[in-house]
Amino acid sequence: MLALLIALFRNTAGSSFRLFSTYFLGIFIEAAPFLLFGAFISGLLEAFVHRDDLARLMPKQVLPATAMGALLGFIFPVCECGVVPVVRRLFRKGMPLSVGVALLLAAPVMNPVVFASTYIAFGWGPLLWGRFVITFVVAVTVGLVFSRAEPAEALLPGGRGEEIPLTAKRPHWLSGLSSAARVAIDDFFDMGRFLVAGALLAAALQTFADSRLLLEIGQAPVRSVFAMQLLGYVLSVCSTVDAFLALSFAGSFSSGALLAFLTYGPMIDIKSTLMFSGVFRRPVVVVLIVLPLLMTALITIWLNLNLAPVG
Amino acid sequence: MTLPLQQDLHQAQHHHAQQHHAHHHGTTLWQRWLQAGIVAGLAVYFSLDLLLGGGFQKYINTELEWLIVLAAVLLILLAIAAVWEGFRLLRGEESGHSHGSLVSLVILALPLLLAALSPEVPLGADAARGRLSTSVQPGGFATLQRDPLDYHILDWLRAFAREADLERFAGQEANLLGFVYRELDYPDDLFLLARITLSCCVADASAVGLPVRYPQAAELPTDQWLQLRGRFQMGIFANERMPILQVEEITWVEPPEQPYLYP
Repeated sequence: MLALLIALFRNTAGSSFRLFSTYFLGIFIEAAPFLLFGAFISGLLEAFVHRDDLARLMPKQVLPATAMGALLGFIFPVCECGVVPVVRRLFRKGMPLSVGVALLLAAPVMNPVVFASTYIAFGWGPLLWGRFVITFVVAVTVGLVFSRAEPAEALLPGGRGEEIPLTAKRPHWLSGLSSAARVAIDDFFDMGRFLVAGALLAAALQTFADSRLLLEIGQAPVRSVFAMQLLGYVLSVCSTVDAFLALSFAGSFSSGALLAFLTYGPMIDIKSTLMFSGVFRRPVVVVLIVLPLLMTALITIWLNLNLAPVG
Repeated sequence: MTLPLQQDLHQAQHHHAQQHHAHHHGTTLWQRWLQAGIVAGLAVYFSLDLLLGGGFQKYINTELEWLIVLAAVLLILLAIAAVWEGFRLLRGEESGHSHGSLVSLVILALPLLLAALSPEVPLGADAARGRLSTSVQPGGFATLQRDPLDYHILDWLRAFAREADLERFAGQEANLLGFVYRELDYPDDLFLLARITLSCCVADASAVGLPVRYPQAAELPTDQWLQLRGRFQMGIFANERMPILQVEEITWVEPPEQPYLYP
């Protein structure tokens, strides 16, 4: 019966539904391996790596420590949802504010899985390098802005003091694996819905949006950047897979706008705003949202205006 | 849409902060099993339909097949773990943390639903509309060693772009596979033989087409795949002088397993 209904639907489905569903499935299928891999890594880290291991790696001076904070993601690939609890714990252990902020902003992009997915979507080129360079510069700069602030002024009392219970010793590998799998399942569902929602929107725009209108917005050097930043903020797609969404806009949007999407989106979106609000005081949250917004906008608009079209 | 998501987020945040501690905030048994069912469904879709059935060629560059293998393996592992979790819960053992709000379960079921409902047809003329070009950047010098009879549409367009004197292609024989693409203002004896091109996945799809002269062009159904044999002759297409294929032999064929070209 169900098979019959499905067969009926398949044959009568309009061509725009077909197109929409092919775009959607294409993005989902391409992104799913990265989402799954990221979920497994985060599960394994959760199960086997102690948060204190991170703290031991930190240099003592502010500037190198901040730069290190921005690059730490390459060693401990956590995506934007995993990074907040890590940072919160590190703050409790006395990590300087600037380091934590740099880590928080950069970690979603600075990791090998994101590198791989961006490479597969765009190849070696300005979008790949630009994504990492801009993220690094913005994260370190915003981090340094906080280098003089006292943690007590910036952090919520709960965000700093709350004891996060941890298992005292490393788990047996078998029970570790099973808890890693549990975390991976939950992560997959947590992140997956943002991917599905983002892919639905991207597919809908590709199928139904007037391509002339998209081009008109997308080729305007300034407007296109802000449009993609807004999109990145709202979609909240996991940084490991957002390159494939950006790819679906590559035909109509300027490279600067794509870079803005690929740098600002992972740093700040609905998800991370909510999570930041649980750690930092309100004025700090506002700075964390606005400063990266302005910096990525300035850099990418400058690129749009001064460089020949790339990508 | 944001409201239920935000609610979930608070849960997610909560759960991340308390990762290692088991908490029962109402993960019900059926939610765990539904979760397991969705993961298992995705595992079946990726391994049987996309990988073994070759369906992935409709969606992504075939060079990225290993990604689908990776996803299939990870999904199978996840499915096993999810079923295991379900049994643990069934035996009354505590399950890690609460999850799988109904919203996220329904959302993750959506790809499966769309995969079941959407017909197995590759992108065609609809996707090409507005993205189709009949001239490309010169390139593809690797094709120089190949027999021109093996050139596909993109190879020819690149060859045209390389050559200063297009007249040299007059009389050249060609053997081409593609689908029918027409626009309203085309003359009755003209259509484009088109292919979708993509470099990563259908998200970056665009199309290339080669003008073909054929007396009954207007009667050909859009999207019909054709195997053509013919010779180029110089003509005018879209106000430009370029080689146009004169059909000598036309065969209606099924869409190929691997429908796209990868520039």
